[in-house]
Amino acid sequence: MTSQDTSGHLLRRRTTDRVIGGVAGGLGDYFNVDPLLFRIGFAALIIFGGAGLVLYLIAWVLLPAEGQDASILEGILRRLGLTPLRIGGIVLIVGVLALVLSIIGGADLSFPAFGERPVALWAVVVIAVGILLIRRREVAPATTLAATDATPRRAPRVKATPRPRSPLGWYVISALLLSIGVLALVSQAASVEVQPGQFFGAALAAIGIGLVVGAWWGRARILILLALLLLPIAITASFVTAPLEGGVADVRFAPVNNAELRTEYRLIGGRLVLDLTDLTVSAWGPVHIAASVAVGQLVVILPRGASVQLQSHVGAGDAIIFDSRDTGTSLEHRYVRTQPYGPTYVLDLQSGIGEVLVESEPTGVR
Amino acid sequence: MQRHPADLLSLVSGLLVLGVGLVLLTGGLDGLRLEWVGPMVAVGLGVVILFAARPARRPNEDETAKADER
Repeated sequence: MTSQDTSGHLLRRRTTDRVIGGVAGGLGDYFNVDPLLFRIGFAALIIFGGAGLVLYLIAWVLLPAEGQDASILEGILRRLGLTPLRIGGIVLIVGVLALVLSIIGGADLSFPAFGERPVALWAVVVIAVGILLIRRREVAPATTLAATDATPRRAPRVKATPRPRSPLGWYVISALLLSIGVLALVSQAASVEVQPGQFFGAALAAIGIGLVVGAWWGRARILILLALLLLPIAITASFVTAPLEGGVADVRFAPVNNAELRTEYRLIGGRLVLDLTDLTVSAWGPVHIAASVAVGQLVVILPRGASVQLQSHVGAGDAIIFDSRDTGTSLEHRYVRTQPYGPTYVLDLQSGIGEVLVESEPTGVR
Repeated sequence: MQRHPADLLSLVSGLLVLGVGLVLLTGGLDGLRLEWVGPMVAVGLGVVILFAARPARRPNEDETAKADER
C-alpha cells in the first residue's frame, strides 16, 4: 500500500488541480465521481438562498488539505488549547438545544435556503459536526496506526509529562455564578433594577479577571471560548431595557371603560396589542398608561384625533409613531398632540428588542 | 496554582473580555449605535486571533541556536 492509496480513502481538500479551495475536488476524489457534480451542486445552492457558500466555507475550514492531518479550524483551536473532544461536546450541546427549541418552542431561526423547519435542519447539521469532531478524535489513533504501514517510520515521539489540571477554570465558573447570584440578591433586597445585560456583564467581567489571572497563574484558555459564546448573547441582552414582567404571549387588550383599563401592561416576549378605540372614560382628563414588551412587538391603537402625550424607548428595532418610522438602537421618541375635546392619553411605551407601533384607528371603521 | 511564564493570549483576551463586561455592567452600551458593534467585535476578535496565531516560542530555542553557532 502506498501513501497515495492511503490518502485516497481519506476526505481531503485538493491542493492541486482545484478551482477555488479544493473542496469539490476532494469530495469528487473521495466519492470517486466527477468533481464537476459537486461544483454544480454548490453553485446551485449559492444561487438558491446562499446555503452553498456557507456549506463550502464550512467544508473548507473543516476538511484538512492533502498531506495534512489537521484542518484550518483544528489548527486554530489547537493554538487556543481546545481539543476536538471539547469543541465537539460544545457543538453537540448547542445543536441539541437548537433542536429542542425548534421542536418544543417552535423557535424560528430561519435561513432562506431551507424549508419550513430550518432550525431542525441546522440543528441536525450542528449535531453531525459535533459527532464528527468527537469521532475524529476517537479514530485518530487507529488512522495513525494504519498510516505507519504505508509511510516511513518516524522517530517515536517522546511523550511530554502531562501538566497537572489547573483548578482556575472552576474557580472562575464559581466566581461567575456567585457574582450573578449576588447581583440578583442585591437587586431583590435593595429594589434596584438590574438589567439582563448587566448580569451578562458581571459574568464576562468574572471570566475576564480569570483570564488575566491565568496569564501568570494556572491555565484556563477554555474560558476564551466561553466568553466568545457569551459575548453575542450579552450584547443582545444589553438592549433589553424594558421590565421583564408579564410572561410570553400574544395578547390583545381592548378596554371599554375605566374598570377594565389598567395603568400597566407588561409582556416579556411576544406581541401586545392595546386597542383604546372603544374606551369610554368617565371624566375628561389625562389617562396614564405604561406598556412594555421586553422582546417583541407593542402595538397601541388610539381613537382617531385623540389628544396624546407619549414617550417611547426601543432598545434595538423599530419605532413607528403614526407616520414616522425609525430603525436602530436606543430609539427615543416624544410626541404631543392636543385636541380641544376628549381625554389626553399619556403613554409610556417601551420595547427592548422589537417594535413599538402607535397608530390611529383606521379610517372608515366607525 | 504555580506561576508560569506570561501567557499573552490569556492576558489580551482577558483584558478585552473584562472591558466589555465592565461596560455592560455599568450600562455603558446604552446609546451605542448598532453600526459600532460589528467593527468592535471584529477588532477584538482580530487582536485575540493575532495573539493565538503567534508562533509559540520553545524554551530551549535560543540555547539550540547558540549551540548551532558554536
